Amino acid sequence: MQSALDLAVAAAGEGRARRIVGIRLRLGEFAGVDVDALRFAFEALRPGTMAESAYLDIESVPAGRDAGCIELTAVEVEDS
Amino acid sequence: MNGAIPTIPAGRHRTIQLQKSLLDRNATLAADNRELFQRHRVFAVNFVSGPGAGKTAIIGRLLDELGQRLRIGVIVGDLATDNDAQRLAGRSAPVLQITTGTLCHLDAGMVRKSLEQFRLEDLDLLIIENVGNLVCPAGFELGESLRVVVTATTEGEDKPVKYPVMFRTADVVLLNKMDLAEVAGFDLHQARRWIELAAPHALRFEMSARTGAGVAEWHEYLERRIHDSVAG
Repeated sequence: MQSALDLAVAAAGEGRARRIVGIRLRLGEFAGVDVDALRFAFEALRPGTMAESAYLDIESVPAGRDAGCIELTAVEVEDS
Repeated sequence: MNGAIPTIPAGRHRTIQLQKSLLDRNATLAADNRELFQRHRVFAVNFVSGPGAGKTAIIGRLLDELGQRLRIGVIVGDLATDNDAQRLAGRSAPVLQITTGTLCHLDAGMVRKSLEQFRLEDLDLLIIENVGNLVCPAGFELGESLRVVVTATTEGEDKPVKYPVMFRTADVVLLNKMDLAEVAGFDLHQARRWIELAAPHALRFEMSARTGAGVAEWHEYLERRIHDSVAG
């Protein structure tokens, strides 16, 4: 989750955003990542960052070609 | 009704579309490691298993039996202590312990950093003993040539189907502690079926690192792979 947050902050920073409104991830069923654990990590990591009040949207990808993916697909930002 | 289309207020919100794999950074470092291993003709093996399946004993036996013919280096990962490094020390092979603190796996960056402690040109085989964990290490390739998952009869038959990702990514499955199968009430037939289901492409060796039974076949295979990779 730390790397997702780092990437989101980097992308938002490049776009000179004021804050991150939301983060969207795609998570494969066989990615070896538990959704609840991911949400818990997000809650723990976001204070003090640009994503302090951001939502986390996780799209789960069922068994199949992309079942091992963990992907940051979009960052919604608010510009200053 | 003038049919005016309501105007949407200019939003200050904007969506940045990305397509970044979160394993990218590790994958990049793993590719660097792989390149480094190839350049120095080092065959790297990543040993993964749950805690207590026998990785250290298997590696100890490997050092004892192949240490005369091959130049071997060992990296051992654990959350804490250098117990495993101590168990493997006292042989000719250099052993380096990585303590990960709270991290549940080794990643390619940690391996890269510890490679600085080795003279790769003086090695034929680099053994990496991952943190004992059947979940997280599956997601982090280290640049290895071979991924070996160890499971033991004392763990029961169903680890492969309970932790399918780990087994699906394995090249070799070592079924260890065969000497304890009967005492543990281990159903070998069921275990074989589940290993084949979870790891259909992996080679399986049934062995006991403690007694040495079945170890020769595994060592022969490994030596052949090392030889082929150097020849290729």
